[in-house]
Amino acid sequence: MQKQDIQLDIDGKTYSIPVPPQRTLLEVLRETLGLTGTKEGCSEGECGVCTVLLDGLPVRSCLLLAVDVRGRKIMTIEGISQKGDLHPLQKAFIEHGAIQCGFCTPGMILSAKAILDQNPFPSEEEIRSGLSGNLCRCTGYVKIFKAVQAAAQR
Amino acid sequence: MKYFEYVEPKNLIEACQFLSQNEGAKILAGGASLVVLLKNNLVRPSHLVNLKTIPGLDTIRWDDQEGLKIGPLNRHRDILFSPLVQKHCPILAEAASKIAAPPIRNMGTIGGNLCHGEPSADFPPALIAVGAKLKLLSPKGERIVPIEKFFVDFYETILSESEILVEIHIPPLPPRTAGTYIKLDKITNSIAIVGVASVISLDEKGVCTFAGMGLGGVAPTPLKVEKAEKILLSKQIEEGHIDQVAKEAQAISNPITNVYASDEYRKEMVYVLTKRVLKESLKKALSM
Amino acid sequence: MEYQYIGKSIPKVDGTEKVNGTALYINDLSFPNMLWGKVLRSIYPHAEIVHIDKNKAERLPGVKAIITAQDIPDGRYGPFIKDEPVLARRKVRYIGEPVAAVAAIDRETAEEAIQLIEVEYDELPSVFDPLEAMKSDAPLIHEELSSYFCVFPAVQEGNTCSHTTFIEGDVQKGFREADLIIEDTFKTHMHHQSYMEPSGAIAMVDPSRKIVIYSSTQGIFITQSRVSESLKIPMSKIRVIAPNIGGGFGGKIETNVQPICVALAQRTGLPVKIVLTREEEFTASRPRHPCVIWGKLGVKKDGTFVAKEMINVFDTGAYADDGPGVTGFGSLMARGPYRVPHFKIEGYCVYTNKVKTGAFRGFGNPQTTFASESLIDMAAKELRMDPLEMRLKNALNPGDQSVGKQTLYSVGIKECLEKAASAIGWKEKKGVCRGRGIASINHISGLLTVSAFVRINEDGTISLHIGTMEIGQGSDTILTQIVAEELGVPIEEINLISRDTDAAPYTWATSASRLTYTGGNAVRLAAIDAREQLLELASKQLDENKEDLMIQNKRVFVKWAPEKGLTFHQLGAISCWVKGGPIIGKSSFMVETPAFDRSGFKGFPFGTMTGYIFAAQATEVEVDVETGKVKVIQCASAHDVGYAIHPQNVEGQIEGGFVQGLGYTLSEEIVFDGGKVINPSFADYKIPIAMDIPPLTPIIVEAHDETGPYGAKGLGEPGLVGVAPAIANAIFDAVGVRIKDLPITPEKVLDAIKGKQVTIPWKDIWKKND
Repeated sequence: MQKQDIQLDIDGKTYSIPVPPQRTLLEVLRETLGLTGTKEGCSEGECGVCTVLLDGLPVRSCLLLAVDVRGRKIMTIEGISQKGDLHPLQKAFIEHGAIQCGFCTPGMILSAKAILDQNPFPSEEEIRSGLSGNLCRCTGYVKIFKAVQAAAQR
Repeated sequence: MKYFEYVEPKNLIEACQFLSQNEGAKILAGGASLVVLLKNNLVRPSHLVNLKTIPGLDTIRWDDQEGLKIGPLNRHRDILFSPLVQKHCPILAEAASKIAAPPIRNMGTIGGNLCHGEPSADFPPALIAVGAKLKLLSPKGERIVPIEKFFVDFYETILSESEILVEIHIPPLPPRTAGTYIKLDKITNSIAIVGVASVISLDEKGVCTFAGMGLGGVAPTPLKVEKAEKILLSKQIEEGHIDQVAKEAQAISNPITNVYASDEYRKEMVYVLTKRVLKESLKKALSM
Repeated sequence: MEYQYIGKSIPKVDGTEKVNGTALYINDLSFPNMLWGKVLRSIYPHAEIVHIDKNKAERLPGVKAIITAQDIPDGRYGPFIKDEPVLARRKVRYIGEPVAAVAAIDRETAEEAIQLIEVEYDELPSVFDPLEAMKSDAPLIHEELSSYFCVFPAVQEGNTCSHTTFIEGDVQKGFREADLIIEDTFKTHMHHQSYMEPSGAIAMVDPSRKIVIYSSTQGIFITQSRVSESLKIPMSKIRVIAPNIGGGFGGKIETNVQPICVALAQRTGLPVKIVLTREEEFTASRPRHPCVIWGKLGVKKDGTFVAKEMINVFDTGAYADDGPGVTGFGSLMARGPYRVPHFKIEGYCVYTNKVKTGAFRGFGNPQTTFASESLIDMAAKELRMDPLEMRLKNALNPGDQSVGKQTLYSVGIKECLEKAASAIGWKEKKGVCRGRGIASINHISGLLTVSAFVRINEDGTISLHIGTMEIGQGSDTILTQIVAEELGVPIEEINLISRDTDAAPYTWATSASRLTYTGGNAVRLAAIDAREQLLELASKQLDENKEDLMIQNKRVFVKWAPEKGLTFHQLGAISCWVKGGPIIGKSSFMVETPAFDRSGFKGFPFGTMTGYIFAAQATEVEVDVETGKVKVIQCASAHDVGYAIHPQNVEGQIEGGFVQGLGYTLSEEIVFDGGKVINPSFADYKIPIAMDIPPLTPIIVEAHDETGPYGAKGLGEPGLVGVAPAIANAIFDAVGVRIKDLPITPEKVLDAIKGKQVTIPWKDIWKKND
């Protein structure tokens, strides 16, 4: 099997790993690098639990070939906290009851981060639109909106 | 995913040549559609040719004479946020805003979207409505194809094995031009059950000088409502004309029944949506 | 009453690990030498298995074991009727039924191996409609039905595996007294839980030959039990551990791949992991029972309910699973939160050759409530009465009785109705094509058993051992709050040990909205027991009367001489080292009272239930009359929870349940072509997204329940139950069309506006004796 050594920039660290072209970024994150915070929910780019940030933008890591993203900046949920402190979004999610089973939470937080990085004071409409690629089955989204708005105010 | 060789061509010629020499090779653009097919082994290419390594395929340029020229590797979000698109072809940005969800818009490309040949894709009706032309490149050379001729059947385009879509060209439209794209979806921005786009240009007297109309989701391919221009051109558009166009759109539609909707419903919705987009476009153009 | 921890929306105890990605779910776990398993599934809805050829597959490098029914004991399992094999034996009964399973070195090899297994089938006639299946000439799906072990006296015939009846009064007399009779047929559809985390399990044989199963499950003890009975392994040799669970909603109560993982692990001697694909979730797990309902309501001209008759036919698919329970419970709830002096309500649980259906938030109640609450509005229309007024007129009061004549004391239904209606501006002027609708519901939260231990550790910190499962609903947090309150110990010093059958005392599943009421009672009693023992020990150590002691800040001291006391740390150490053992508070809370008066019951598969909860859901909708599209403009959901132990949590359940209800009503449906699911993916099965959520007001009503912990009752399920009729009633109010067939699609609305009939009259479909 054709494997090439690729360099992946994940959460500020550079990894050099042999990867066949058939491997998705999600598989490499979870199975090769043991970063299991990014989840697998549907494998077809519909549910959003596999969301990572690619150059700051949310993408479906289950639909990205690892070879295709070398040299790009990837951020996972493991990389969002700053020096061990929780990111304001993470704090807000806890504070506002925006977490239930937690399976959608990593992807949801990353998408929310991308919203706030683009626009520090998003409207509710912008939050809803920005999160429309992340399914949540538990919360009904209501407290997630509140958490993102609260984090925006920090 | 079955095994394939991964190739990164340096330029378009190399890519075309590679495709012509390797029958089982497929192009990788954004991957939003292709990787799903690869994972399910519905597509088993011998080689995957990554176009993204070729520079210059993601530009958007405007020329007053030529119009808008869009590279195929522009992602949906690039189209949505491009000041040039928003100014010169806002209906395209409107269509982009209704595709799926942000992560897909951050990955999928307009070229990939068109070449996938999905009958209910969001770009084709809008591109048909503005009279777009596609530039295709193969080892034999270049050819220009009007967008409505690009689609042949369900998920089948006019592209030959070694041909690559290299540019989407939208000729300049007159100043008083407005367009609308509406789609009926099961939940917001999911796959179009029916998608209708119309673009209307009016002169200072309010007489129609251009009318383009595209349909999605109602036939094996996206459709152009050829007769729309004939019905609307040189007229001050009234309810009766709109009704005529809507009936024509309905007449050329040949939808299927699937989990989203029945053929009957789609046929009826073509009529309803056509009237809505025409009224909306007319209203916008009149207010300009 | 003001409490220190109770009634406060403290940060959830499992929040941090869920926001930073360290919470581990089943697919995050890995063991040395672990194999991947994959299931080969039937491609026919009903067929005899003639021959299975494993040869080609066995020769594939990397394949470690392949099993079929011949390789495992012939045990059957099921919560009510033990009718389901681990792997199909002799015949298959639905497309997707497990026929064989492979364990291989990696996922790709396992997937390739199952393609190489050759199965020869002999197709049999199949039946997909439950009413067709009830006919005497329908293909028989379970020929040996009468030989299956049933945990309750099931009334069975042909493809009907359970028939439950509730009778009170004389329903014919009641209808004679009625001034108005409304009668109609309703249909509800197959609905998938769509939890974000696919189900999965890892099984292994540990060095002591014990089976250890890690599983994403709502019922570790249920998994233990099903594996035992299906593979004939003693329960003492089975340990089940659940990691974090990514949602369940009922779909993860019963087993799916666990017995298969165990059989493969036994065969190979290695850990085996199986995680379902999303497609397998849609085709081969256990979605909600579709139901066909005939309902008849008799009303006096002043709006008083006088008689009700219903027949609910639940489609349980190829195996009974939770079907008898869903049928029985859904029918029990069908009288509604109202006084109805005469009723006869029947439920039939019928096999068909489709995927088996099972527990999902509401458990039969959403189906029957859709019919019941629609009938009320239909009656209100005829009498020109406000549907809200009609409900208020008949709504239960404290002191009224449940079906089965239990006296109800905590009844907040009227307050729920009034508040929900008011929140959406019930009496305000409406816009064009806009309408408002309301529905009210009842449910229960006290069922079966929860046991708990509360141990005071040597250092004065606390261990709470309980077999409940945190599936996102917040049970870990509120149960910890209860211990904190009773012992005055901060939340961080309480170690909640659950999710391990070797470490937690028995509980029935995490389901039935019961963890607050049933679980909360168990935990509270165990904590109180521990506290009493603590006071007892302190009393002896300090040589003071117990009544003269109090507890504060983890110290037991004399009320008027606070300097005379001992800390929890000291007492914990004394207990362990001096007395000889730790203080352990114990409770096994079993719901036994109040008992049902079962004289009007037949074939009901449960013992008693209590902890009645009530809710009202109100919506305002706008209908696009050209496309049929329905938009919910605003909504409110009011729930009588007795007392809100964690108000933010309660709101979260209300909101989450309501949004699931929106999906249930407007966009979600598992669609079949014959016996084949044709939309087994999120691309084609659409659950609500962030952009589609209307403004939603959650309302907490507190009709204190004396029998509940701090007055609290449950909440997990009702959030969804009344949404569909609330929307259907609002559509009727908006444009005068009555949709009786879920989901409410734009096409159905448009057809109804044009006057096309949408449901088939009952008399044309109820021909079971033909």
